[in-house]
Parts: sequence; structure tokens; C-alpha cells
Amino acid sequence: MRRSRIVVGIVMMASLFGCGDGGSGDDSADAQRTAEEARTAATQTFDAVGQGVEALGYSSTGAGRWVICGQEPSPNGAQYVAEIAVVQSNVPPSQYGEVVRRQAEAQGWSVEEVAGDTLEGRKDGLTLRAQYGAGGMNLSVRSTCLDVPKDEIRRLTDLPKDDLGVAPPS
Amino acid sequence: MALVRVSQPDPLRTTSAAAASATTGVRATGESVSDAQESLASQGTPASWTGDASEAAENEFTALSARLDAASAAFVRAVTVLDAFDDTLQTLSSRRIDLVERVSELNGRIDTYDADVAASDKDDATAQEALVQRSANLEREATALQADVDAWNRDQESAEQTVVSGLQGVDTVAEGQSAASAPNRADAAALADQLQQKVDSGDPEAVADWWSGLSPEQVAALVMHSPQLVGNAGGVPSEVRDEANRTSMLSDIDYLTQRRDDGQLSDLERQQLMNAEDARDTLDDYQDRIDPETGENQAFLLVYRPDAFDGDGGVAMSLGNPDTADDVTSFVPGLTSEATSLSGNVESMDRLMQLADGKNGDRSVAAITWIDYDAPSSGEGLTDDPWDFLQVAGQGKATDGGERFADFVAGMRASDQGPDAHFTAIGHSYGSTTVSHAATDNDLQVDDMVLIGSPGTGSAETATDLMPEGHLFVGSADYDPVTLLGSPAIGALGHDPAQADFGAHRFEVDPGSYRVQDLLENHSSYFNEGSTSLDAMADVVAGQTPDQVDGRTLGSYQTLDTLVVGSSVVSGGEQIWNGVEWTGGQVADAAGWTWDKAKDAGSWLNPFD
Repeated sequence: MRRSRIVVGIVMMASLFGCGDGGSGDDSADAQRTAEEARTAATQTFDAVGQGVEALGYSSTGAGRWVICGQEPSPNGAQYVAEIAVVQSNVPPSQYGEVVRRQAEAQGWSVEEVAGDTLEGRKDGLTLRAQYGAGGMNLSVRSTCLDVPKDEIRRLTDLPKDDLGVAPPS
Repeated sequence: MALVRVSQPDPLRTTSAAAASATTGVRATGESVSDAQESLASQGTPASWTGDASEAAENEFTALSARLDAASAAFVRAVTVLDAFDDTLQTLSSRRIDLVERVSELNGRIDTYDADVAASDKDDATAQEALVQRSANLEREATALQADVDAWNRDQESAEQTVVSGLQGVDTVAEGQSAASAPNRADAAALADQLQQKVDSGDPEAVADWWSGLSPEQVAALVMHSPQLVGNAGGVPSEVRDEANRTSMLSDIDYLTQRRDDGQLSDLERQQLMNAEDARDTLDDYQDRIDPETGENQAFLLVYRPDAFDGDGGVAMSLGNPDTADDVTSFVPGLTSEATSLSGNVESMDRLMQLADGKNGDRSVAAITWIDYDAPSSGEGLTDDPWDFLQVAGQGKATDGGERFADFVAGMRASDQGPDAHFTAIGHSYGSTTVSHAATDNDLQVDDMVLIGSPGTGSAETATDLMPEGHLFVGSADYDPVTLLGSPAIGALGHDPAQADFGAHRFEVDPGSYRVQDLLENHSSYFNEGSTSLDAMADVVAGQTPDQVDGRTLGSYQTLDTLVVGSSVVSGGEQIWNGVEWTGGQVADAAGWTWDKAKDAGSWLNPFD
């Protein structure tokens, strides 16, 4: 019992020394800037890929949101994710890989194939992922994880989804 | 004469996902009507109410019940028609993809032909003859393919006409009454009784066999009548469970939102509404995610019990169809997990799934987040400190949860289609104790098991108590205090599976931060993007074996007390450094001193020495 009290005492002392959330200097302004950069890159890239594959339909006009990094119940950050799916096109799925690579590289992404049906691209701290098959294509753009305090993680992940406004195919 | 290119088929004017979404809405409305009709039919007027007024009311109730029954029958017909339309759309979509591929290929060859003609020597009779022959062949192919495209366009129009006329066939009261009195009308109540008996028997294979014999109209009637039963029944196809649970969810949100607006919401209902809205929001988060092979939405709501566990709720959601996926994993999170924890845990599964998908070639992956047990939570008077939870929680909830999890997996196995999927169970923290109990106390039908951040394995004393040799994988960060609760002596939740003598395959995990304020964050870092632990778990899910590291032996790791004391002292030194700006040399000296003292203190405090 005495030993347990000593352990608890030391933990309390450590807390008095300033042990807190471990949050860094990132704040809501960083988050806003990160989201804006991801949204802009996503909208431009989704549109370019959609045109490349002659998209006839998307799952929506695209959506962006904050998700946790790490794990519940103690996430350690948040990242912005923008997504859309091409559900119909006039380019055959067998050509998706080639078209996506071309269009993404034209948008400044460094692209590599991570699996037979998946490409990943990187630029400016963002990650583009395209996974495709006979049924269509998932496209996403992710930011890096922002190291922000827990209450900021909650605030960000509670925000409503952003509509990216990707233009529907004409 | 220039060859004419084949035109691409028309765009599919309605996607399968859009049709399914519309059907869910119609089904939810139909369920409300069905509920109201059953309620009215079973209640009638109170027995104490007699006289003319009572008789008049009884007559009115009966008439209203009959009208609602007609409406209910009409909804069943409508859903059956919409389901059939959805099936047709999937076929049309698949055919369209094939046509696009063929049209693109043939038009490409025509382009090549045109280029060859332009470049040909007009005076070379042999070459011109060959070109004429090629032209004839291409023209013949183009004509045949254009006919296929035209046929597809006609089939799309025909499918649209069929669904419109099917819906028009039940859009009047008379047509609803006709549907209600049809001799072949599905008896939803009787079907629900039969399904309930199968479920109660605890044999999901029997449920799957029975289900496969139902007609489309029986399925539509049963889902609309008893979505809670269908949605949570192991052995029912995952697509149907998803449809049923979405129906319940939408219906609950409608009903409970109205109750809230009327100021009548009880505390339990308030919790249910939160659970329902959270499930809906998480599904919405994945509305832009399709299965790239089928084009269908990738999210499946496999369990929906918003009122379970005194309002904590039970829920399970899969990314990818677990019935058709080659590699399936089901994750059981730990402390404080409840229905509203779904979103963050699904994100973890999303990261795992994407990584595993890149490791298993052409095989497909489905990743389930399962939170359908009563995990220890702050509602029971505990503090928000996970450490506190683990110390006092005991194994009772893990034992109960283990039984539920084993049942869930058995249901998934029963609804599996094609070759048996490779199934991996993953338990984190208290969830690892729950998964352990699923294996030791029940028949957990998995091929591989991963325990991460485990405080103990319940009654299992060695790896082979849980899984056959080589199929239990363990990840424990060196500086995750929760993993030290079961070592070196047995903790309240059982053995530490990372101990060498436990016999599991321990994989590498980033050790984590050695600051006392980060220790519990180390416990929540196993699914971090780019982490070694996430990569190792993806290996296991993909059917591969991650690199092995040595298990813990006495002296090779810091015990709990040592870790807490050492990291506290180091953290304190760090703060002092920040405050008074010592020189680098002084800090180095101080750090060395505090480290020695921490080790001494830790050794002295260790109750197991």
C-alpha cells in the first residue's frame, strides 16, 4: 500500500511539473490552413482524374472531413481527408491506372503503384490514393496528422463534412 | 469509305447505390406503417370501456388497422420491386463495363486502321486488298457490337419501365387492399417467429440454410416487419443485415427526433438517439467509398442495437463485404467503447484495411469494427482514467463479451460465400481480454488472432490455450503501461501475452514515448499511420507472418512501477530544463542522474521483486 502511494505521489509530482496533453504549437489556424490545402488539391485532382477517365457519375460532389489519428479513447492527432468515388465512366477500367497516373502527375503528384489496383501520390505533405476496379474508383487526399490537443481533436472531428463542390460530369 | 466508330452505351441513369438508398427510405417508412398496424391490431379498446362509444371506437380501429395493413402490403410490394430493380441495375452496370471495354478496344483498332490507310501506298494493290479485307472485318465487328450497345440501351429503358409500372401497381388504396388479400402474400409475422426460433437455437448455419429458401417477397416482408431481428441475426447475408439495420436506424431517428421535439424523450431514449445518429453519421462518412470491383457502397451496418447495455449501445460496421471478401478481420476495442465510439474505431480499421489490401495481391479485404459488448465505461462511477478502469474492471464483462463475439464470428462464418475467408480477430486493451475469453470459453472460429496493448488474456496461460501454434500474434509497446498489468506476476485480467514463456509470436511495436504524460497515449498508438504495429497487423490480416521479436523476460523490460517512476522523473527533468534553460552539458548530467535515480527507485518500488 505504501509503495502504491509513493507511485501515485510521483505521478502527481510529474503532473505538477506540467505533464499535460503534450499538444504542440499547432492550433486551429494550422488546422484551417491544412484543410484548405487538402480541399484545394483534392478538388483539382478529382476533377482532373474525372475528366481523364471521362467520368459519367460520381458518388457525390466530394466530401472532406477531419478524422482522428491514433486510436480511441485517446487519439493523438487529427488529419483532413477528402474523398470521392467515380461510379461510372467511358474509359475502360483496364486503362484507369495509366490515366490516373498521367492526370495526377500533371497536378504535381509524385505517383507510385502500391498494389496492382492502387496508386499513391505525394506532394506538399498530402497523400493521394486511387483504388480502382471494374466497379469504379475511390479517390482520396489526406493531410498529415496534426498534433493538436484533445479538445481540438474533438472540435475538428465534430465539424460537419465539407462539400468539395466537384463539378458533376457534363 | 471511312469506318464508323461504335458509340458508347448510354450512361446508367440510376446507380445501384442510389436505388438502394431510395429502397432503404421506402422500407423504413413501411416499417413504421407495419408497426402502427400491429400495435393497433393488438391493442383495440380497453376492456373496461363498454357501451356504444366503445363499440364505435372498436369498429374504427378495425377499419383503420385494415387500411394500414393494405398500406403495409403495398410497401412490401414496392420494396420487392425496388430490390429487383437494384439487382437489374447491378447486372446492367456489369454489362455496361464490359461494353465500354469492347467499344474502346474496337474503336482503337479502327483508329489504327484509319492511320494505316492514310499511310498506305495507293499503288500497292496487295496492300490495298488487305486493307479492304480489314475494313470489311472491322465493319462486321462494329455492326455486331453496335447491336449489343443498342440492346443494352433498350434493356435500360425496359428496366425503368418495369420499376415504374411495378410501383404504379400498388399506388392506390384498392391496389394495396388487393396486395393485402393476395393468397400468396408473405406472412411476415410467421416468418419472424421461424427466424427467431432459428436464432434462439444458436445455430447460424441453420439460419443461413433457412434464409436461402426465402423468396424475394418473403425477404422484403420479413425485413420490413422485423428489421431488428433480421439485422442482428448471424447467418443472414451481410447485405440484408445492412439493409435491415439501416431501416431500423432511420426509423429510430424519425421516431426519437419526434419524441425529442415533443419534449418526451427519456434518458435512455436520448442515448438511443445519440447512438442512432452516430451510426448514421459514420455511414455517411463512407458514402463516397465504393467497392471498386462491384461499385456498391463499401460500408455495412452489421449490428445495430442502440438500446443495448443500458444505452451504451451495440454496433458493428464493416468496410467491405465480409461475405465475399477473401481476408476478413474483426476488431474488438477496449475500455470506454460504446456505440458512439464507432467512428474513430472504423478509421483505425480503414487504415488497417488499406494497408492489408496492398499486401494480399488480388485478394479482397473486409474490416469489421465490433462494439457489441458492455465494455467498462465511465457510466459505472469510474474515472476517465483508462488505467483506473483496467485495475477495477475485472473479467466479467470480457467473459460476457467473449461469448457475444464468438457468436458474431460464427454468424459471419455462416453467411460467408464462396471459399472460406481467412478470418483474423484483433483485440485491443480490454478488447484483447474479451477476444481471449471468446477463444477459451467459446468456439471462436478464427484463423489468426492479434492481441495488442493487452492487459491480460483471461484464463489462458499459454498461446496454445487461445490458438494453434503460430497463429497468435502479440503487439505490446515497451512503454505502454497497460501491457504491464499482467506481468511479471499474473494481473487481474490474466497473463501478459508478450511474455516469452507465453509462447505467442510477438511482433515489433514502436516503444512509444518515455514521458509519463504520454504513457497512456502509447497505449493508443498501435493503429498510427506508418507505425510498425499497423504494418505487422496488416501482414497478419493479409495471411502473412510479420517479423518476430523476442518476448519479455524478467530484466529485459521495465516493470510497471519502474516505468512510471522513471518516466516521471525524466519528464520532471525535461520541464525543469524548459524552465531554467540549463546548458546542454548540465542537462545531460542531470538526465543521467535522474535516470539512475529512477532505476533505483523503480527497483525499490517494484512490488514483485
